[in-house]
Amino acid sequence: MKTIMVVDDEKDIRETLRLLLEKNGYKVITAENGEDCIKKLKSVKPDLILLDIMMPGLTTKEILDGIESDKSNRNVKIMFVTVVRLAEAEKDDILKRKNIVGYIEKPFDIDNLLKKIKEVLGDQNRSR
Amino acid sequence: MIKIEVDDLIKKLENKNVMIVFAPKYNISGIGVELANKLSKRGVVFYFSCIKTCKHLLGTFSQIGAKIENIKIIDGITRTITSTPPKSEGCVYLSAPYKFEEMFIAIKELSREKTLDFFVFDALSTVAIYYGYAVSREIGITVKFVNLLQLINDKCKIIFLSSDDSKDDPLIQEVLTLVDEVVES
Repeated sequence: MKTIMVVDDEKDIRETLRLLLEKNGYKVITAENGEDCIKKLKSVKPDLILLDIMMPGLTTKEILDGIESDKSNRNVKIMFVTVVRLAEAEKDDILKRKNIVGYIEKPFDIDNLLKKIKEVLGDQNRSR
Repeated sequence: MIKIEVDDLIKKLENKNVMIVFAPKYNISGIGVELANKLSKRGVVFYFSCIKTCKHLLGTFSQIGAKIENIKIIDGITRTITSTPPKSEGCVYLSAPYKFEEMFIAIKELSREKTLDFFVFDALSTVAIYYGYAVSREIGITVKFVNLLQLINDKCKIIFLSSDDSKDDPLIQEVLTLVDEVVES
């Protein structure tokens, strides 16, 4: 079973995504901010992190640096799920970064989110 | 729908100096952009953004026909994502959205280039999320902010945009003591 870490400071979003993803056959862990994410990554290696861009505490850049600085995270993929709007060229730049695999804008379409996750993690993780 | 609301806001601004606009979370920035677009045809707009990057905003303003030479952007988000934001005419980058002191410096610098007529703050509720988390929270920071803008131009109009689910936040409560109009959008 693939594991997804949902990192978002909004509890409602964390819980909604947890229910949605568990229903679709993923194991889900949550983190409420960047510090919590990096701390939890010491003991668990999710296949994918859904990362909010705008959270109190560490900036996105600091979170990414923190994740990348630990070599044991090299296979952890990261997808942004955010209300922040970037120019297309900025998205392309971000996606050049090693672990970043996608960018989803909030409010998101559930089917689109699941489709993108399946593209990244493969389709073998359907509900059993 | 946004068009009518924004025209309404601009009408209200004629007799008000400091306004806060509460809107649903995902509508705030759309209102801010449309407001800046229309105001740019009446004067110089300083636009603080921590939801849309400067580059994104410039693209949008260009597409919708805003008077770009009248818009100066203070970008509170790009440098939290990348350490090397692109140099863009009329853009100043803060290291984080809640860095008011950096914002004050940016405002002073930008106002040397153009006289400020309107300030659109997009969005106070987002800054409040970060600011509430900062260790060295400063009481009265928004009073300083408004005072600075009014010192630069005592006729300038300030519009704070905020998510309508954040009214209880201390930073927003502070701003509510400064405004002369509260608008629910």
